[in-house]
Amino acid sequence: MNEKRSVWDYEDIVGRGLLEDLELLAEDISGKVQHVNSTYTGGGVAEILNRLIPLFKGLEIETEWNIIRGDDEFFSVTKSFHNQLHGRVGGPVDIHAHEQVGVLEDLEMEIKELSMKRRMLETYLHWNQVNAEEMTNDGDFVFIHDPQPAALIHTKEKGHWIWRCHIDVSSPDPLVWNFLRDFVSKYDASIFSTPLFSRPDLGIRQFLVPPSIDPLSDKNIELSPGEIDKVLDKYEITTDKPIITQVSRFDRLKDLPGVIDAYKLVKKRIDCQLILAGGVASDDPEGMEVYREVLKKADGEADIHLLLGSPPFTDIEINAFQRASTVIMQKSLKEGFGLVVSEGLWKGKPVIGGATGGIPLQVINGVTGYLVHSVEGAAYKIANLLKDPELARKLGENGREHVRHNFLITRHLKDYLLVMHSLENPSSIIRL
Amino acid sequence: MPDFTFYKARYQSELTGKSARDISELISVIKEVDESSIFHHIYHALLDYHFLPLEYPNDFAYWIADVLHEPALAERLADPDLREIHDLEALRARIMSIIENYLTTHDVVGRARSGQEFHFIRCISVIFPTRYVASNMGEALEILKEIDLDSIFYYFIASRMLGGEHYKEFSRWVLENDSRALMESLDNLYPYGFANLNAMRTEIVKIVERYFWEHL
Repeated sequence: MNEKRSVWDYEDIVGRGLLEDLELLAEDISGKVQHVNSTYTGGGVAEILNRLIPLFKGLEIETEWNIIRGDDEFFSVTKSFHNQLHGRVGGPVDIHAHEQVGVLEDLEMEIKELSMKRRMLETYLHWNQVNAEEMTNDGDFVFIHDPQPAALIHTKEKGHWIWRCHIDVSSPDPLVWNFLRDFVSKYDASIFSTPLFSRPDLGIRQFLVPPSIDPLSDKNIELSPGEIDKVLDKYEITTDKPIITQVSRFDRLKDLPGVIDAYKLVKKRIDCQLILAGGVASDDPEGMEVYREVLKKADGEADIHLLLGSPPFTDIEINAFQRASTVIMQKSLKEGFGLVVSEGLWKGKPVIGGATGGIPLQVINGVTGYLVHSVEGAAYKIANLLKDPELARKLGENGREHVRHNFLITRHLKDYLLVMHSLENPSSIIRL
Repeated sequence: MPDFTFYKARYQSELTGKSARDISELISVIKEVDESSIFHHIYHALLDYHFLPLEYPNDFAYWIADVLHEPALAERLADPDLREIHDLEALRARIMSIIENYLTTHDVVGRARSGQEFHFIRCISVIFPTRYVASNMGEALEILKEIDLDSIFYYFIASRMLGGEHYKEFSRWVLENDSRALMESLDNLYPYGFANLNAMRTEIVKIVERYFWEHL
């Protein structure tokens, strides 16, 4: 990726002060920055790096982005690691499980036993060794993203190595975590999105850097009414009734049945429509099963637009669904950071979210949206917002300001520059 | 008269790995934690964007009210009278003394549930010169009106607590501009009582403008 972008493209959005600081902080960075993850496309990490790396380059910092390779078995192993570190559970679960999370706990032990076979660890180490031999990790600041390439630390010869953890490892499967910790503890530092996702037993520095969205990406850029209508027409959605939208993978932990139940409660009193737009990852057999269950739950209701992105929705389409909405939902039962919440808030929409993971950092209850704990709670808040457009407008406006100050890519870039300075000089007061 | 270059700082949060679930754990960590952590938890909220003035303007007060449900102690910590406090060790001692005095007459039994712990965060301050340079007080006034609020925070709060080097330079420069009265007025500004940094900036600008009216 050779694209360079100027931070000054963001002047109208974040003002001059931060952009001047980015230039000043970058002036004192010398050496090469390297980012390593497992894919150039798909998923939140790749999405952020695609936007962040051109900005590093625009600040005249030599920056390289490498991805590791592996076979299907390797990625199946790392996906299993991800799920077990994240506390995510899968398997056949009752569609009504949104009210019975405890049922999943029994299944967890079974999955743990299956997934911690010695062969998995060998596969992980084998592919990290292959990548170590093929890749030159000679950066002065090497950011290794998530567990997949974590074992590359064995190739460290120079520079500061930072393990950037995008997932919640606060309650991991102990076997997987102990295996991974042996690698992570050899890094110079780690970065977590929030204290709630971190570990007390790492023994290395732990910086806090929340993730971000890019207001100039296709997913978030302003769209004209004509562009929004074009997308809605394509999916045969009209705007004669207010729209409630949840954009999320077809995954049990996103509680799509709970969203449908809440919508049905509201629908009895207020004529409205629901968009559930999501994809199914190619390596996620459970996703199609969840989609079919949700399809059954929707039961042919004409105002439920169950949209399966296959091929995946374009970023402009996601953007248009969110901008056409009156209320955005993210009623997750368990969530990582849940940046889709910031996407909704940035578009000036109030968000109703489950009080889990990173959602409460984005949804300030009663200020940028509402945190809910039940179907009934979600329905009540949806109805409040549909009946009071001024309230919805005010919360949406607050949400946009909250994101502007906390969750935009320019703040993310500044944090990385500060972390780099901090690694060069471990004092708590650094004078440039 | 030499020109005066305005500085500012940006702050990066780092976890200390220490956390507290009740008042006794909070006290024992406050006693030993890096002083930059005390700075972070007392002051960072001033730098954050808020929709409404904060009920409790520092993390200790907020957590004690919200999680331990001890609003009377939270209110005492919310305005700890920092007039005579000029360094972080003195600030730490003031916080400790407020809590310990309260505990002599009250039992604080609240305990955080999982996920509500107080996580102690260390603050890395990266200090650097801005592009704003003044050659006289008139120019300094214009800069104070438009400079980033981070610079206002840096000069009037952070620099004073983090050794005072740049605040003293500013104070000396104001004095060298024959403005002893102005220097004293700015030195006496009590920065903790403002609802936000914009309000603090307004007061600083008012002090300088009033000085101009009276003396120039």
